[in-house]
Amino acid sequence: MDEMDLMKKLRDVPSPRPEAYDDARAALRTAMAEPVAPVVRPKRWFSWTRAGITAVGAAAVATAVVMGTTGGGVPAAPPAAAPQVVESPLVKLASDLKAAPSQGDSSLIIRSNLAPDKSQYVWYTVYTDKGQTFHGDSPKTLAQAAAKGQDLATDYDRKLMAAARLAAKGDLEAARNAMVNGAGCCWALGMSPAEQEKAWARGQEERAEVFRKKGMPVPPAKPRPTGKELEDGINNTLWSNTTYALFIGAANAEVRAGVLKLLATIEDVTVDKADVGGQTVLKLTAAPPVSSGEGAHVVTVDAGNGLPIRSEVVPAQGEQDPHSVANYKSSRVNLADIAAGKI
Amino acid sequence: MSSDAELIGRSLHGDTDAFVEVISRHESAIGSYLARRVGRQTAEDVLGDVWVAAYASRASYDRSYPGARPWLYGVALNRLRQHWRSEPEEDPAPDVARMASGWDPWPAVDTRVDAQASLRAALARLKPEEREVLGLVAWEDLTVAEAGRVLDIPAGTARRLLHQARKSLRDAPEVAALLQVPTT
Repeated sequence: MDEMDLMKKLRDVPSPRPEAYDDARAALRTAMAEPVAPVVRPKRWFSWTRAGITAVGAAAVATAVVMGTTGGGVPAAPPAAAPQVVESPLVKLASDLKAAPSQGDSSLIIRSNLAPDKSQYVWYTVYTDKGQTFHGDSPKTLAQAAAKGQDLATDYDRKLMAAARLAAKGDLEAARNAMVNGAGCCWALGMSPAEQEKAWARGQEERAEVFRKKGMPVPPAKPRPTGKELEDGINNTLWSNTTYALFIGAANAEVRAGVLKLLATIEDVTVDKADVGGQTVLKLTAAPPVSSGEGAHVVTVDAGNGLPIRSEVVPAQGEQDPHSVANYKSSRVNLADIAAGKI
Repeated sequence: MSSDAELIGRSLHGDTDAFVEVISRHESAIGSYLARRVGRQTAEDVLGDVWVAAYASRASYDRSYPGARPWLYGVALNRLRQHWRSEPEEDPAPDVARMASGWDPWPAVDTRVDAQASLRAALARLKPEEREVLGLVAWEDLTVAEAGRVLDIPAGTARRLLHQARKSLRDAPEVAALLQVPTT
């Protein structure tokens, strides 16, 4: 017998019960059912109790609308909410950005927020001007991903970033459609009514699958919303996708300018100038109809350059979920430096 | 059968079932690992967090390694460190409370018999990284290189730490006594 044999005598302790493994897997499935890209979602910290409601709710507000013209005699519905760029400080800021010179070849975003146990959680994202995306949970893992060329952009990422850059170049209506449709479900903006019906049905089936995976009774499929509910649903997707794009690649001036222009088209997003610690900022507030009725989502950007500073979900009065905050630091970098571990 | 690395790769392209398959392969080992460190109740509480953290960070998984278990041990250890940092006052064992480290992974180990208590006392005097390598090798059946992967240190460093840990244990008077007297 040696010391390793003695060690093995301490090995046996009561293991987790079988139902604990089931619960843990269910928690994972709930997290995976979040409706947007799972890795870097720019939202509040995960809430076990509300996650299912969020996932199901986001899928439930989908419908379809035709934008623009369609050929071949296919009937086209009128646009539900045509993009209108109002006189907004965001639009002026976007115009200034496009003219500004840019250093480096990539955007680096460092997001930090607090986990429920109050520990700091930091996530790094590099978006290159060529369109690659690298992630890491430390400078080291980010450097490894960059050095190995592990471009982890999903289709969702690529579509959103392309839409943001298209918006910066001027075709706002096409960019808005692309940004909304980038989620893959369920609006099908700019398509025929038949295609929209199909997209809606697919979304309803995906929603039902979420319920089935969670072992819950599947509620009946909902009809497509109309009127204000339709507009809110589209704007909710537009807000979610544009802010996601901002938090992935804000230090790319084209992405940032496009995002700001698209956000300026959402009537229920208010823009307020404020002073935070001597820094002039713009607070972009998505009212509950735009933020899925979960309270207000406030994104704070630098008033001078539009770079994101803070994302904050302010729960509706009486809600149990805590106020959640993520802070952002953005900079222009060279990919080669990142790969070499120089952050 | 697909490797863990292949399944994680598929999960990065939206195949969530592939990631659940990875978890299913290793959940028993990771669950036991957690229980050995923090006891069954807390292990059950944090297991879901470990899976969610693994899922959230799977993009950083080095897919040149076909097997994901060492990586999952590392994710679990990070989650435990968060737990220990957030609850430093949670029932520390007397011998553990004297330790210099800000966190310690061993308070849940039972002290049911004298031999185990003696061994625990010797373990408590080891450096945290020495204990972790020792536990990963002795309890989790990892190779030294795999233990190094868990702790994100070179294999050579892990080997040195294991050597130091074993020597310190052998030199500890209470362990030396145990090694001389057959235990049941």
